[in-house]
Amino acid sequence: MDRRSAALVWRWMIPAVLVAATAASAQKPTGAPMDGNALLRRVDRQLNPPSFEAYKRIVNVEPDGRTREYLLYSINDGRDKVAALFLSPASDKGRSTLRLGDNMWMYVPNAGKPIRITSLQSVIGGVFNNADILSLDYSAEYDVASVTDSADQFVLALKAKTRAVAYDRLTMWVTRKDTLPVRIECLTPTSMLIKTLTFGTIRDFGGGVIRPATVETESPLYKGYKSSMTFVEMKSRRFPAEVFTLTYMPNLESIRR
Amino acid sequence: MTRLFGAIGIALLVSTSAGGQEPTVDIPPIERKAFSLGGYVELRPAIVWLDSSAALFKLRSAPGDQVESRNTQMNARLQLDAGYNRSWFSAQTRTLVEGGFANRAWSRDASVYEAYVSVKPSPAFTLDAGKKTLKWGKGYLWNPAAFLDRAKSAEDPALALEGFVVLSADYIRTFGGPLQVLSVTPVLLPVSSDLNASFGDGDHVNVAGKVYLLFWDTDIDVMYLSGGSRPARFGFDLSRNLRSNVELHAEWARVPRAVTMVLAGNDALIAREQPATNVVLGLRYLTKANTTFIADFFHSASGYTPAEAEQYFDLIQRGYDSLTIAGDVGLLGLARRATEAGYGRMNPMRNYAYARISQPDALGVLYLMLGASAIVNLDDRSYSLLPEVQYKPAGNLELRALANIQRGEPRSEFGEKRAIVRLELRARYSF
Repeated sequence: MDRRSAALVWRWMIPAVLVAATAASAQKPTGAPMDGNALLRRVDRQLNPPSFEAYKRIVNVEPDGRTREYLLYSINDGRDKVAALFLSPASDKGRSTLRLGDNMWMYVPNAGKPIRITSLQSVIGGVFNNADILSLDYSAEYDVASVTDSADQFVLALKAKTRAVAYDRLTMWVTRKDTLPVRIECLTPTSMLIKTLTFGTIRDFGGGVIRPATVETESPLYKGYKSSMTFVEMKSRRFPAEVFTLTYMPNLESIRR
Repeated sequence: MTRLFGAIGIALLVSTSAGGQEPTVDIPPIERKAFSLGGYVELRPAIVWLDSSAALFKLRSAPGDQVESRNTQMNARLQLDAGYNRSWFSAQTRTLVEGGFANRAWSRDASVYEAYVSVKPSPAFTLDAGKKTLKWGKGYLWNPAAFLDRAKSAEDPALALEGFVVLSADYIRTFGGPLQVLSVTPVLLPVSSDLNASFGDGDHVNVAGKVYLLFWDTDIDVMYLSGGSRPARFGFDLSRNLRSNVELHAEWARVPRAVTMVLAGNDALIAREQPATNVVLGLRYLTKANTTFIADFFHSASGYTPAEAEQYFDLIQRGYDSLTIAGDVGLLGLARRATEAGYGRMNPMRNYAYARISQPDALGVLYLMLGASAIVNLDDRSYSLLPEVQYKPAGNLELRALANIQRGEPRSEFGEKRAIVRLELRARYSF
C-alpha cells in the first residue's frame, strides 16, 4: 500500500468503522449497558463540527406578539471556546462576547473594554441566557448520570460537572435514528424546571453539517415569553487560538469572510 | 480499493447524520460589507434646580447676574461611527457632534473621538495608529490604572470617551495550562502644542505599555507609563469570578512623584510633590432574580483632604465677596485657576464609595431596567444619588430618565455643587 492509499484509509475507513461501531452500539437492545458519556459526545459532534463559524438569528417574542430580533456571528473552537459578534440591531452592533470555559466577557464598543459577565445573565434579555447563546459542547459541562433507552429515542439525565454551570441538571431527549437532540429540559438541583429547549427543522448546512436549524425556548419563569434561535449559516472552520482572547474582542469583525 | 473504502465511509457518515432530514426553512442570506456606518442621535431635555448659595455656583457667577433657581436645557448629541474592514486592514472613526440650548444661549461642539487605522498581519499581531481610546482598568467609575484615558462621566460611566493620538500594538500568545493568554500592548503617545496637548506638558513622546494575562481564570493587567508629559507611574488591575455570580475587581497604581496643585495659606497655588498610591477595590454580585449589585471603593492618595477642600470653598466665597464689595477679581481668578489645576476634577478628594443596583426586565416587563447609583464622599459624607429608568420600546430606540441628586453639608464636595437636582430625559435612536 502506497502512502497515498494509506492516508485515504486513515482518512475514511477508520472514521467509517468508528461511526458504524458507535451506531451499532446505539442500537443495542433495551437494558444493555451503554456508555452515556460517549453517546453525549456523539450528540455534540452531530450538533456541531469540532470548530465552526455560524450566523444565528435570535428572536424574542413577547406575550403581546411583539418581536425583537438579533443577528450574531459566532465562532466555536474545541469544547470550551466561543466568541460572538452582534451584527444587528443597530443599538447592539459591534458588541462582542467571549467564553473560555466558565469565564465570560462582554465588550461594548462605547464602553471600550471587556467586562466579565455570568452565564445566568442575558446580554439580549428574554428567555435565552448567556450560557444558551454561548453554548459549549454539552459533554464539556455535563456528565451523563443515566440513559433510558426506548424504541426510537434515548433520554439522557445529565449532571453538571461544576457549580459554575448554568443549569445543575438537564434531561435530554435524543433521537435514536440520527443522535440529535429534540428536547432539553433545564432543571435546578431540586428538579424545578427552569426552561425547555426544543430543536427543530433539520437542515443540511453543507460540508457534512446536518443539524436542527432552530432552537426554541420557553420558561415558566417568563410566562408568555418565547425565544428562538435560528442557525442561518454554519460551516466548519478552524481559527487561530489568538482570536479567543480579550485583546482580540474589538477586532472580531476582521475574521468574518 | 481505497477509493471504495472512502466512498463507503462517506456513505456511512452521511446516512448516519442525514437520516432525520426535514425540508429546509427559508432563511435569508447574510450581507457582508466592507464599509459600515452607524451611530445614534440623542435628545436630552433636562431641568436643573440650582443652589445659588453653593460655592461652585458663585465660581461661575458675577454680581448682578440674574439668578434663577431652575434652569431648563435642551441638549442633543449625534455619534457617527464609520468603519472599513477588509482582511488585514481596517479603519475606524467615531465623531461626536453636540448642541444645546440653555440660559437663552446656544452652544455647539464637534469632536473626533477616534480615528485610527489598524493593520493585522496575523491574528497574533495588530498595529494601530491614530486617535484611539485605550480604556485601561477594571473599576466601574474610577480607573487610577487608566494612564492614557480621560475621566469617565459619573452619570454615565459607559459613555464613549475621547481618545489620544497614539501608535500602539497588540501581540497575543496563547498557552495551555494555568496561563492561558499573554498579550503585550506597547503604546507611544506624543505630546506637543498641536498634538495631544490636553494630555500634559508638551514636547514629549510618552512611552507606555500593558501586559495582560489570563492566569488561573483571573484577568491580570500590569501597566506602565514613562515620565514625560505626566509623572511616571506603574500599576496593575485584576478581575476574577469568585463564584459564578460574584466578581472581584481591583486596581492599584503607584505614582512615585505625584504632583498635586494645592492652595497654600497665603492664597497661592503651589505644587506639592509626594509619592501616591491609588486603589480601587470592588465587587459585583448577581442574585437569582438577575439583580446586579456593584460596590467599588476608591482611595486616591494624591486627592485633597477635607481641610484642603474647605480652604478651596472658602477661597471662592472670599473671592465672590471681594468681587461683590470691592470689584476685586483677584481671589476669584485664583479660585478658577485652582479649579482648572485639580480642585475641579471629578471626585478630587481621597476616599469614595460607589454603589449601584440594577434590575433588567424589571416588574415583569422585558427591556425595562430600573437602577440606582450612589457616589459617597467618605471624607465629608456628602453624596450624589442617581436613580434611573430605562426602557427600549423598539429595537433601536432607547428611552431613559435619570436624576442626579447631590447633597452634603456646607463646605463638602457635593454640598457645594451648582446643581441640587438634575432631571434628564434621554431618547436615543441608533442607526
